[in-house]
Amino acid sequence: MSHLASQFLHPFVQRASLELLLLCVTAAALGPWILMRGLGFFAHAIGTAAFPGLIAADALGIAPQLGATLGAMGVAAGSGVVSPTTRTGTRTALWLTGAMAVGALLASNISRPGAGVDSALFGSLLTSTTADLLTAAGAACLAVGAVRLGGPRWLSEGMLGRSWPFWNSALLGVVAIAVIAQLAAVGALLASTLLVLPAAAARPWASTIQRWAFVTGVFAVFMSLLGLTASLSFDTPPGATIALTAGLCVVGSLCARSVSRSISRAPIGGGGAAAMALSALIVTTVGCAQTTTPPVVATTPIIGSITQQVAGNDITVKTLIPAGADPHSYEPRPSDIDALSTAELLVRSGPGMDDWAKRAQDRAGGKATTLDLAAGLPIARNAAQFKSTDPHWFHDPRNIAAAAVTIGNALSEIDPTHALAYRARAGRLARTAADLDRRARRCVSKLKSGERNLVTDHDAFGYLADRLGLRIIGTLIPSQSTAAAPSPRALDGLARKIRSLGVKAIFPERAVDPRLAVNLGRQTGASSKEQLDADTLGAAGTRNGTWQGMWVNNVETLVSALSGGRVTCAITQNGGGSY
Amino acid sequence: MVPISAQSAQPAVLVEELVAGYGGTPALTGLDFVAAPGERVALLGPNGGGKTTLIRTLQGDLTPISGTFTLRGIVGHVPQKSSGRNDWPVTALDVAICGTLDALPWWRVPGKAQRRAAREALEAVGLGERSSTPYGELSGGQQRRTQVAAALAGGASVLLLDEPFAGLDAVAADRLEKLLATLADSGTTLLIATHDLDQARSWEKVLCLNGEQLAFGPPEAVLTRQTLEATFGSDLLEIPGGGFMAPPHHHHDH
Repeated sequence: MSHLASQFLHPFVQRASLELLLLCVTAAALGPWILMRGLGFFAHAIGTAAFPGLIAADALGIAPQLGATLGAMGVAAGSGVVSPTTRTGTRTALWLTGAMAVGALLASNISRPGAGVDSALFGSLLTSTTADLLTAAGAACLAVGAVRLGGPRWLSEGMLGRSWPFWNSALLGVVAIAVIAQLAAVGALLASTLLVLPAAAARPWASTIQRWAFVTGVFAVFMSLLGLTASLSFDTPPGATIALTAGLCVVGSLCARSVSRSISRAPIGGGGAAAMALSALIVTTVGCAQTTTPPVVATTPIIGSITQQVAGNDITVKTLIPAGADPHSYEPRPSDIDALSTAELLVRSGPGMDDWAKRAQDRAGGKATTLDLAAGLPIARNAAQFKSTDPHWFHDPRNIAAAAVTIGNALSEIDPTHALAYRARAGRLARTAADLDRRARRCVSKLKSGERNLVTDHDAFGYLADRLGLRIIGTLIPSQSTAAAPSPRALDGLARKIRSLGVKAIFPERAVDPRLAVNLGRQTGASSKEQLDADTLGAAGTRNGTWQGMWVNNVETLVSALSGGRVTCAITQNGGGSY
Repeated sequence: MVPISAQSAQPAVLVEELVAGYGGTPALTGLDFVAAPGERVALLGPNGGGKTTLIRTLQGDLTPISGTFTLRGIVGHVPQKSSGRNDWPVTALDVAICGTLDALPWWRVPGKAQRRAAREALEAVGLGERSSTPYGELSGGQQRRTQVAAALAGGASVLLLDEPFAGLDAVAADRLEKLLATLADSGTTLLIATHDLDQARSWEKVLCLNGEQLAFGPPEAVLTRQTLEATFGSDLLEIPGGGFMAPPHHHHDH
């Protein structure tokens, strides 16, 4: 309990709470009207419409928040016009579908969406900036003002059949702005959560609109603070936790209402208050996760693996992206922000891989030194499809050796008493990398020239192919976004290449949906059973849970599949796990 | 409560050569009639005959295709039965207050004065006791009278009522009928769309519509067999013992 209370002393948690309270004001004012006018789907659509805006912003090089706003406003404006005979829901669906289609096309054909896209999709409540707070405050003022003036007009439209075209558009506009203000906190996918769910939970307890707004505000504050507390207790991403909490609260409210109705004419709100108190008690007592905050934070599992090996038992390294997770869908958890705000050293992979790291660190208010490993590497590979340098440098062991030394020096600076140990472990890791490099090259040399053609999911293995003398003749996905898909012509061309060169295997990645590779394999006769690790590692303790394990596994898999099983080589006797 | 104008000789409603419709072909032609303050005018006609078109045009919802009309004073509108959301948490008083919005500039919201006017209007329609009852819990007749109260709260001296008796039982219809008579006595002009020939017979004027104006005047002059057959076609039923009945009412909401 005291640990939980102490978390609320963190400036980032206080900022998050303040942002939530501002959003609750908006929710209290607008929520009842969104439900009365049937604008729940509209609100959700506005949030979702931020996605194509984000992709377009990324492609055009403008700020993601601006892109999201423009996308959302476009759909809002489209829902308000188009044709006077179509109802709002249909219009909204029409515009949303169009916008999402454009977004998917952009994602597939223009560029790989960067980090801004992901943080805007999933929100970053714990890293709220002053701008986010001002946006939320502005939206709250606007919502309260609009409801004050527009409320009676919307009421007369519903009750007396009057028509107020200006005030109707104003309602759509204000709802759109309210959703956009929520984007930064809970993300595009959950942006309508606080606008819809508290009002839905409050509805059975309210007999007038004013009372409904008040109870909505109470529910909104309760849901969001309970969700934030749960997120801190269980160390889960706050956006999704708040959405889930809110959903449970709605169910609880409706059940409590029907129970209190059937038992007696109990004073209204008694049941609801009891349900709230009970769930608050459960959340605050159940989860009191004890966390220590290590002074060194790494962004991805691969970086975490090599950093931890250099740090040894002297420092525990905190890795932000969990093993096996797609690095492109990252929402900071409370413990991440906690770690970032107190860390002394942030080790990151580099541009194109973990662009979100710098922003997350700035917002967490940390003063850690950032070590950008990509900046000082011996091998840098330029590729047209990446905006600058290919970010997958860790698929060349020579880079790992160099990175180990860099990390060793950085750790020595923040903890000079163990400098010797860090430098020694860095040297050992560098030698291991060189050794694994040699063994891999010896193994691949057994492949014939015709067996050296490689087809992978996305452009992750350029370094590996360069180092081992393999040729990448094609990739399945034209970019790294999960929304991207190849065009039919590109797939057909690839299939023809695979057949004419007699490629024996296609390699899906572990973190990506393998169906495309499986289909192409079936079509061309190439094997698609073997998976490679590109950007992430397996769980700790598994064969590919370390960088060494990943490298060994990738090379062994490649050689065996490309030669159709003719060549097999065990690079290490024990799978590399002991390094 | 509605003040009678000093110049009661002037007509409250003056319609001249009006052609109305929804753009495209006119739905209603040849409208030419006058109503004095305090008169009840029955709008008679089959479904689709143009009653709602006329009301929406006079209300200002539709622009006339040609011709002119003049309404003296504030116009109040009581829409068809289906409007009014029973699921919204609003009281009868909230609904009556809504009627005062038309007279307010956009930056103002109803205040104390409007609240008082709404209360008085609810008293006037006999719902003074019901002002804090949720609208959805009112009976059909009470809801209709609440809508009338909203129009009165807005200071209406001309009321346009679109089939106010549809769906009411005999008791509720009787109460509404009495309310309308009281309003007419106090100088309010009422244009009432209806299917009930007996009601129309007891009011001051009748306007027969079926795509065009077929007749206008006092009921005894207008409600003849020929006019009614022209209005309702062969659907007209003759009631044994004298009198006619319009075809059964079909409610339609749009």
